[in-house]
Amino acid sequence: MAVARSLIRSGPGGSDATAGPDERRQMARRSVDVAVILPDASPVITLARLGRLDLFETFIAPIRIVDQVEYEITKPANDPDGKISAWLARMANRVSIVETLVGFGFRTKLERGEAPKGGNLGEIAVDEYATQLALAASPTFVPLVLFEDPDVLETRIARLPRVHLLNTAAWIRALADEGIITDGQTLLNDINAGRKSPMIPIERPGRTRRVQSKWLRKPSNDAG
Amino acid sequence: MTLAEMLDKLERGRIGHAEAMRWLGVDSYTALVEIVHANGRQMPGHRAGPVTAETRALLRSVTKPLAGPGPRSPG
Repeated sequence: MAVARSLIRSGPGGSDATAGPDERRQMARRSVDVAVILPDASPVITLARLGRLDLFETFIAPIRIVDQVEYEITKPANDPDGKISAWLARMANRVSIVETLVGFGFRTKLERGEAPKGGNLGEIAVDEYATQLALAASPTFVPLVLFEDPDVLETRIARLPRVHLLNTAAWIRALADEGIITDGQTLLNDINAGRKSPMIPIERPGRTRRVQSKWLRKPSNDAG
Repeated sequence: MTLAEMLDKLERGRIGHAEAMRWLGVDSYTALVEIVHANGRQMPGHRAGPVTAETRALLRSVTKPLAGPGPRSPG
């Protein structure tokens, strides 16, 4: 399984935000595999409605979407004006579609002219992918799971080792806190304006004994 | 009253903590807050806490700033 690598800099005290240039040069450079996984159609649909799919372009880590979720986000009911399909085309290989047997079976039925019910197939397809990751992912792989549906917290992907869970609200707040976007609060207000109740930020940082918040570890003498 | 209706009323401040705890059959405020949060709701008057340092550090390492503020693309 190909995994793009992102260099993670770790500094004394757990963050390089306050380090000077000399300190930054001396920081250990660690290599951790991070991929953004979208197990849920909602983050894409929410941002598409607001015309803010460009937020995904802030990621330099690869984004992965299972085929059945891709089907859900691009079906006419969720993508009436083709914004999401255009976004996927624009992102090109920065978004990889993960083929699953569940999605393959669904597409096969569609091609036969049948009308299979999508139902919770997206969730089942994501479970299939999570099983693959659990069995075969690298020990340094960090899945950054971006979701909205709280049910995702009960699925297998939320129990993967080193998984870091973020819902859309927490992601936007973190982007704003880091100065990556400047209109985070406006965006959250726009999201909440279309909801019955405000979206509560949910995050569950990845911590395991083996790779405990690796990006925050103090540097060691190894080359990383 | 369903759970969703009760949580909605609690979040909007139409019923108090005591009534919600009675309805749920829990005897601690912590249990009430946990149930509210587990259902994606928030206690009235509470504000969500800041995102953790771990999340900020992870995002700092896997993101880059957008070229300019506000919407940048047709998507």
